[in-house]
Amino acid sequence: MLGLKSPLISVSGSTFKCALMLMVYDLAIFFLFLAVRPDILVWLYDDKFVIVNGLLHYVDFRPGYPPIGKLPYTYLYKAFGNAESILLYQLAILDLTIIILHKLLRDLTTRRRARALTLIMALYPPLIWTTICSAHADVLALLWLVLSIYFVKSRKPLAVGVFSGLGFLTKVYNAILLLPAFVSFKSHRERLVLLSSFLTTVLTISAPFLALDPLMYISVYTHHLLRGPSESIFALIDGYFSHTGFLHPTYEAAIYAWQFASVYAPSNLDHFRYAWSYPQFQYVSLALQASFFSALSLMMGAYRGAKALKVLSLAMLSYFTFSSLWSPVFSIPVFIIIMLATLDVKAVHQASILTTFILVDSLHHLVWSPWPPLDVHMGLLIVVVSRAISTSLALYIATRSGG
Amino acid sequence: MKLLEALAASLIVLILITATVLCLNLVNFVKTDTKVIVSQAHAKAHSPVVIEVPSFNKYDRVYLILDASMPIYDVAVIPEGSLIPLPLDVEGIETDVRYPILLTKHFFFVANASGTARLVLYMQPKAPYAIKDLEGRTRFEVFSYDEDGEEYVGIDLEVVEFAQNGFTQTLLILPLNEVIQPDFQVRGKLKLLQGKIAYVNFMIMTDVTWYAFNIAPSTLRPNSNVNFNVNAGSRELLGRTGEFLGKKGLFVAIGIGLCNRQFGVGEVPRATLAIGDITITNGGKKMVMKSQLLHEYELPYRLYIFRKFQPTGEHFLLVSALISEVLAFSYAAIELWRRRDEHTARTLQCY
Repeated sequence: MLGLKSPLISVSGSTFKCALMLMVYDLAIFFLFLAVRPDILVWLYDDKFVIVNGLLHYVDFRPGYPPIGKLPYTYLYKAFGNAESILLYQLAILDLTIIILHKLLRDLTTRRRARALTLIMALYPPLIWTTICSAHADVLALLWLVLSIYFVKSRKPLAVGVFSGLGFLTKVYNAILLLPAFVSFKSHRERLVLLSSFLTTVLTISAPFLALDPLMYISVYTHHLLRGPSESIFALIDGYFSHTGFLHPTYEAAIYAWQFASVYAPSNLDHFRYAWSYPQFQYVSLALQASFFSALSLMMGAYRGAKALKVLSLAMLSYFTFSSLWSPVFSIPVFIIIMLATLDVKAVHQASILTTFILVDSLHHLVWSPWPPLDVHMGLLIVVVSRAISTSLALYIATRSGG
Repeated sequence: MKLLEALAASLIVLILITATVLCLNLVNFVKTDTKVIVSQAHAKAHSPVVIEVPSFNKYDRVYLILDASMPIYDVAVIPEGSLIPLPLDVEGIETDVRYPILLTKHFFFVANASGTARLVLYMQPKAPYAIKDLEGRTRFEVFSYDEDGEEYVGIDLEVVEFAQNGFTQTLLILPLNEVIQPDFQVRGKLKLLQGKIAYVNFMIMTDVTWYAFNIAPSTLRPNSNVNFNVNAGSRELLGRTGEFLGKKGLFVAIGIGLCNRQFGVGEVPRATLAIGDITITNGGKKMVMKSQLLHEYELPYRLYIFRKFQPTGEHFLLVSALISEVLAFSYAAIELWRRRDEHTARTLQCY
């Protein structure tokens, strides 16, 4: 009896401890929010516009995010119209993300290290900033990413397909996980399940929008193709030092992406109708992303377990690293990817790598703060160069240790 | 198993056929979904200009774009209510002073019914600047003003709504589009004719940020003249000097600020100023913006009619078929995978 009882007691004890820690964490974040009082609702200007003018997202209007990434915010704004409801929603997602991440790390490394890494992630400043200061779907996209990686590791094609589908409907980058996942599943039937579950998730959730106005719905995705580079090495060499955003009349989102493109001549100052000063850079960026990402994804087939996950992380890292479009919130998935790619290096090395990224990513946020410590040009230059050095260093250490 | 495999294969074929028909229908629509009319009308100050909007369908979007230096009192739609205007908003702010919309004026409508319509524009004399509100909302009127044989552009500003900070700021914008050189200098003259101002700033907009230099303080009395000279040595409001040198200057502007604290209860918050010629020197070149108003001028415009997709019965049928086929295919794929797993488990048990 005792032999059966003690593990039960220990399990519920540790669950209770975790729940208590999460509660303290949530309270701390909530108090931080009350102390800072950021104007979260400012991000929801398009929701306000749509509600006031009686328009419908994805039918009359193309927001910047797919439906799962946008509609919860619209409904929260419509129902409560306050920042607290948004924060509580994001906090709930953040908690889930932390729990799943801890579970994933527990399966990959020692209990102590998993706990330490989860704590580092929970206290990662850009993640806290995004939760309390932004009303965009970055934390939710992270949840789907962590869940998809978790199920790639658990070799569950159905779950990977469903969660990458949900991820794609939150923030487009989640869909890229499909390629390494496809390679990692060996049998044709598993691959078929992966693809069909992804497609089913995407199409069934998109069905109402595809029925009412497929062109507006497609525009939500295609308008991103007009966007120029930002806050990346390619952007800086090209001469674009500004932030990503839609500095156009909001009603221009009530027309299709290609109709919008017909209104403006491309310019290297207009982020949403960008003309590259050096057009070859966009192809260089794309070629580097595609070649590294596909090569590393194809390598997934040769590995299993933790090693396969490391290759998967490196593939994802190459996608982000060579992207011409970057924004401070991109740092969040990248931080987790770096964490997963360096699980097999010495703890002290991993800690130094993560600390470097924390510093660089926090500086990146500060560059756009109301009182930036550096001029935007200089700040972005330092951030971009430091990130390139940190990534190279992380890659060197990760590949040297991991083989 | 065999039956399921055959079902999955035939579903793939069906999905491909349905998706192709759906895509072809959409491509056909997209081919003709934009109509652009680039034209110009002859405008006379204080007289209406009529722009015809040719046939449109319900929910189509009608977008009129004009040069921002075209001063418009008002725009009316005939027949009334046939086109519903959407309000201007740029990331939550009711101003359009960000690139690239700074030098254009926009009017966006959603068609309330199928048919044709006319847009009636009530015009003012044309100033050499684009006049736009940066903070709050004002109603402005431009007029010619002469003093001692010198010509000025007069601008009468009346506040419609102060911004939350209690100010309005109206910009008179001039395009620059040059890299700012060390010899950069802007000289000009202005005069407060009546009313009260909070400030007049001279502003330089680079591709990243604004630089603002105070050229007239709130203590300026009516009928006082201000001669200003902004150059690389001038200190701007945040204490920066010459930081704009070497950066791409997109626009320069005169920003006229009014503050609600300066006006008593019942007092109409307004100010009337006169702006003289503005001379900009940069990289050895000199540009003079003459302070002249045109009472008759050409009004170039771009009118877009954007068609909006309206689903038909055939479209609903195709989308429903596609979703059903994908669901059925997914079911077949999962069943095949599950049965193979069970089969493998049974085989392992036998051994």
